[in-house]
Amino acid sequence: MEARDLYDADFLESLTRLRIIATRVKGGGRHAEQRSRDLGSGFDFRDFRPYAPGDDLRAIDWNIYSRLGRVFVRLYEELEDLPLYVLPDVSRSAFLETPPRARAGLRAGLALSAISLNQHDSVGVFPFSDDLSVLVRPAAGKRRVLTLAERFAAIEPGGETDFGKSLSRFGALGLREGLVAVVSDFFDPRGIDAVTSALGALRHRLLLVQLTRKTDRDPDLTGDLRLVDCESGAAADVSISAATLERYRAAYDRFQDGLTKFARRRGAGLLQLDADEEVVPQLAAVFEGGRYVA
Amino acid sequence: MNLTFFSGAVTAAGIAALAGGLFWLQRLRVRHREVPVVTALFWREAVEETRARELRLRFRHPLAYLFILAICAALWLAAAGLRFEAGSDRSVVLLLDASAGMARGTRFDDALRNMRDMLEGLPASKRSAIACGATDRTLLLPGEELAWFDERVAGLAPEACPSSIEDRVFTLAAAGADRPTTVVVFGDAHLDASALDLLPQDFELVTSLAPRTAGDECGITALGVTPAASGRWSAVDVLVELSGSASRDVTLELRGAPLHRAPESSNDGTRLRLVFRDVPADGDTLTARLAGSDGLTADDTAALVLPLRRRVRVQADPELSPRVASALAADPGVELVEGDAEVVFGGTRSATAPGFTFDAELSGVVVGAPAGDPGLAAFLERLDTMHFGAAPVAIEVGSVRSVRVGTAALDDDAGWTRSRAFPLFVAEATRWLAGRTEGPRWVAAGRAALDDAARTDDAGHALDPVGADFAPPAAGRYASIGGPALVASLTDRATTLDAESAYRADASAVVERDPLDLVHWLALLAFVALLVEWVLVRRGRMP
Repeated sequence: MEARDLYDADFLESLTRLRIIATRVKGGGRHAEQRSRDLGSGFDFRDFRPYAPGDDLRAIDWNIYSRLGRVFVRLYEELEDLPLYVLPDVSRSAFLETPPRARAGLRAGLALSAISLNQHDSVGVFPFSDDLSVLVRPAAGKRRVLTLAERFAAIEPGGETDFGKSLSRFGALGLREGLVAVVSDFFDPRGIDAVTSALGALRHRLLLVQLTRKTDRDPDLTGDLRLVDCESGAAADVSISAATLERYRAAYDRFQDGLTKFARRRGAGLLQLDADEEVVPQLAAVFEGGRYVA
Repeated sequence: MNLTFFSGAVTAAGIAALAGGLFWLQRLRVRHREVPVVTALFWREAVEETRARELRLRFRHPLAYLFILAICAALWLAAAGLRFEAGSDRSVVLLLDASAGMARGTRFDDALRNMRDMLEGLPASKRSAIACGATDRTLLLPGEELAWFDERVAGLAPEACPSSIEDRVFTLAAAGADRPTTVVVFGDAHLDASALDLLPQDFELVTSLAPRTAGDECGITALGVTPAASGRWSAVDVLVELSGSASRDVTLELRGAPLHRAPESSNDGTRLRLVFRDVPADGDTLTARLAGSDGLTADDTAALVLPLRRRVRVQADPELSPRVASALAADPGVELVEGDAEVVFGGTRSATAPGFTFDAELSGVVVGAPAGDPGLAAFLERLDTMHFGAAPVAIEVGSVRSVRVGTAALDDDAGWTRSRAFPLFVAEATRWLAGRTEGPRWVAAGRAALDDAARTDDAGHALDPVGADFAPPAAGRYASIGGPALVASLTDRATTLDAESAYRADASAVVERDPLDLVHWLALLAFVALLVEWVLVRRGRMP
């Protein structure tokens, strides 16, 4: 896949109107545009506290001193960054179809990365399939978009999907709390319980970008088929009938229901991205008023 | 339940074969098209309940299998011609009257057609058909196909015999007294209503009788002979009786030539009796023939074998008892000769010639005959009817026939020789010793011929039923063992007059018991089931 397959000027231009807003990031981060729990030199007043030796004398509120005779300093909210960790699914299933889900997934990952970089947030990229790898360590800088695009384009198909192992490995990296964008079809052969269990173990805010196709729920298959799992190679003989399709849809709906309930319970964002449609318009749908509140 | 086209075994084998074939089809491996998918985890769940057919795997979808088997079994049973008989165990016996009266017009063909129509509507397992002519002929047995009936009635025609339907009805009633039976009579049988009241309660008799004729019948209803009233030993008087409303001339033929003799006639309004006197009794066949014709030809002629009345040549011992000598002298059938005698009276007992001897040591009568003598039983029966009062009759086996009488029985004091039975005893003994058998004086089809000869058919097969007198089954000629041939005639007054049956019961009720033909219902059921299966398959309720 070439880098120009993932972005163009219009693509980048359309992303400039989108912002990711954190309700309040955890302190200790790099100075940026996100409101944090840290008190510092921001512009938004947050509280008073009694003066202590060593405090900046510019922060003393002389009006209070004149009324109460006691010295208080004004405390301001520190603006810090919200790290974005993009976890694109690069298992074999993402590269099977035409066009491959990976193309839409990587464009979505690149789009989210570009948005974060535009607001001075750091972005790290961790592709995963049966294991997790570090493609780009978290770093900020608007000009890194092109570099990221080239790195995205160089991603090679991996093996089977294993959310448990991959996310466990990600958690072990000990990264500062941020927004984890998991871009995947979430089709882990171990089932939805394994997926939600792995996601639930993450300490980060979650944005689940599910790559879908219309044929996922309504497959256009007929006759007597040997269905081969594109990742494991396991085969299953199926005589397609209305009853079989009904049972298939029931299984798919159970899976979707499990993922939706998890997202709702966890307060995570869930975007179902049609791999056959344009990515940015679908992505913009979750950015209400151009803002996505993580 | 009854199967029209297949036997029970074939039907069961067919269903078993269908079950086996469907079983293997159910397990048949199919050829799959390989498709890589990303959603294998969902398919895996769906496939857990919907595995493709494959041999050597566990048998799946037993309900679908049973449903398909039910459809195939319904089609197979429809092909087998399944019929439902409404639970009745009543058997229906159809009797076809094949007697002489059925030869009138199209009665016989009409009766056959009506019988076949009724058979078609009856369950095969419960129906049977019999033709009642001179002898009974089975036309259809229970369970047989109707084609057998068509095969067996080919060439069947009425016979010159009176109707035996009533006898057959009582035979069936006796044989099937323990199970419900309906007998349907086709023809013009003359049934006696009072006699039929004796039938068992579960025995139902209905009729499909032919319509009567216009009433211009005339036929010979009796032909017989008696010793000539003129006293001539070698002649007989012949009686010919005509019945019917029409008037027809009758002629006699002897040895094929007309016998020109004017009869004496008497008419009581219902029948005309003609007596021909002094017809030579020389053992020839006498034929009476009516001029012209009516609707029935079987009663237009009648024939009878005349008795052969030759005198017995008897040689009497000079010292013969005067009572015996007088009886011999008074017998017109005896010719006393001095030599070349057929029977010797008196003297010593001969081992080579039949003789009538006397024994002082005897107190009664001893009859001697070779072992198996065919006429002995009849002779003893006639002696028994004479009640001559002598000592009991004993029997001994000898090389020739003989009669020995105790001299004491001839004493006048005993009274026997003065009785009216004594000349008869002497005459009967003379004729038996000489081997004279006159034959019956009348012979009618279906009625016993009262003589002492054993009868055979043309092939020499014995016709006498055990313990009963011979009754010629139909008009015709019959040979004899130890006696003259016999010619029987129809001479049945009821047949000639086409008498109305006193018993009639409409047979249409029998047809109403037509069994329910399940073939169409089974085919319809299979069709509906196939539609249901198609809907179920379309909706994914069936694999």
